[in-house]
Amino acid sequence: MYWMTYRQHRTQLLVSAALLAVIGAVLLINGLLASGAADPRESFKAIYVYLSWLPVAPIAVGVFWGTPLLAAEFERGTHRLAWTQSVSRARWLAVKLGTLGLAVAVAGGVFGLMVQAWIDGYPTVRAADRFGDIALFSMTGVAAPAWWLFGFAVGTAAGALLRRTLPAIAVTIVIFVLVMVGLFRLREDYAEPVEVRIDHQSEVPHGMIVGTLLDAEDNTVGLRVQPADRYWRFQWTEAGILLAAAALLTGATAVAVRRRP
Amino acid sequence: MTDLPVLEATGLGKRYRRKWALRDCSLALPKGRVAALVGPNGAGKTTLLHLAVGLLSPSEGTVRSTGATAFLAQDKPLYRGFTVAETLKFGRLLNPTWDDAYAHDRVAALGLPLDAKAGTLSGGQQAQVALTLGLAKRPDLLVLDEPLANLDPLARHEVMRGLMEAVAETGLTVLLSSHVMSDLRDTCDWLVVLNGGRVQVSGDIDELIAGHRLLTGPAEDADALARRVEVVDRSGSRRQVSLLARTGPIPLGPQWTERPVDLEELVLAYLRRPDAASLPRPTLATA
Repeated sequence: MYWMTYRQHRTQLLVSAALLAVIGAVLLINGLLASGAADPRESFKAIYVYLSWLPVAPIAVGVFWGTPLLAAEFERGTHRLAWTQSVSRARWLAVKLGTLGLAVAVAGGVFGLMVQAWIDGYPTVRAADRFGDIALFSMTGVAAPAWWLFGFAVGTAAGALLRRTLPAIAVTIVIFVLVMVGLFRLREDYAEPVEVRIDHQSEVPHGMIVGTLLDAEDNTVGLRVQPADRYWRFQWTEAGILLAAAALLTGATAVAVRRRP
Repeated sequence: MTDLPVLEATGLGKRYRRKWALRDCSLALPKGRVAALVGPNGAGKTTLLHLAVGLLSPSEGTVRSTGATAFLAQDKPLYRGFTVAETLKFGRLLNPTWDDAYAHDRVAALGLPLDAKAGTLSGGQQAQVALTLGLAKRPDLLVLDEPLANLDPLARHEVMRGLMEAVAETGLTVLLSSHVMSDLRDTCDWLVVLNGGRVQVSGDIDELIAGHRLLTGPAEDADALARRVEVVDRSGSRRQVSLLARTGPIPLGPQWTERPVDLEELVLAYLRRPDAASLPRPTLATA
């Protein structure tokens, strides 16, 4: 079964590994040059413009890894070939989801570590903030592999339930974007924010700024902030939500596979 | 002949939502037989085969097969991106009873290139690869869903010959569905007719042929004759009728002629009369 899983999905595995290597190389080169740059902010921005789009990378995982996993078998009828060998349907599915899920999680984790290492190369750039920046938060820590796994689970479940690759791709994109928009809003409320008084001289506090405090004349007198030391707490909260959703979707996938003749 | 049936279904039924695709299906397939499952589209053939190989679980009744079962699904699916060698490797890794020497010998004898991708092979070659995949598992029962569909006459002949060689070699039992009757007469020795989700006929083909006659004579005597024999199907004009009857040779009036039926006539007669049935004991008379 493991050979089978590798053989069927080696294209995705190799292309994903190559893409990760390219992203890693770009981040590494940029990070190495950053220390010598006249203005690290410019150097940071040059990459950030593109990198800030990569919270949607898990859509590609869902579309290229997830949706064809079952839909391509159903479309061609090859599931009837696979399920009438001497390996049970449950084991077939468990091995496929297990190995590919692990590969996706590892890839997402490696991606997260690379982004983290790149951020660490900009200690003086304020924008290089893994907590305050909405995109960087999703691409670091445990949230990164959790988002990738979630994308994979959405794609797999869509393929299993719709049984056709193209509609499954469309549904995967829509669901992923909706969840992403939803969680990006919800994230500010993972904990009660702290109120910080500020005036013109004070520096903006580190962390996730979620609102402002106004006085009677509508002057800003303070900020509502999630302090920077809540990073890991927020990371685990977000990962927990995503992994729970991924588990539910995988359950739906298993039911769909069990019922399919 | 004391062997247990290789495949046995009892009161088997499958319901999709409210509609029964198969109902009250009881049949026993003796060892070593090559059985043809025939019936119109939507009769429940595929459902019955999927139940037999365990792709579906029954809504009622039971189906049981002794020993290992191999299945060739409709359209003979193969992983198109796999080479022939990889397809055989797939079979070897997923089946503990796999006979790798047999699989490679068979592919070599057919002249199939090992490094060709399955998707680039002709329909007949793909069917042969799929058949090899099934046979090399060394199954006791091989189930094939429309194995001859979409094949040209030559490829049909080649596939059937390959199947018959395997049967002769190993004593394998075969159950195949088809709607091309002419391909079945020479190769199959057991017939199952499925119609509207019910089994109408199940039995040895030679016995079935011997047990039916086509009687032709004047219409006015037909009713009297029909009381003496079991008429499956009745056709003809106002003056002359043909009765396909379930009977051996019988004495007839001078105005009547009789002749044996062929397999196709027999099947068509039953399909035209869904109420008629010819089943081994226990005879399930349909009301």
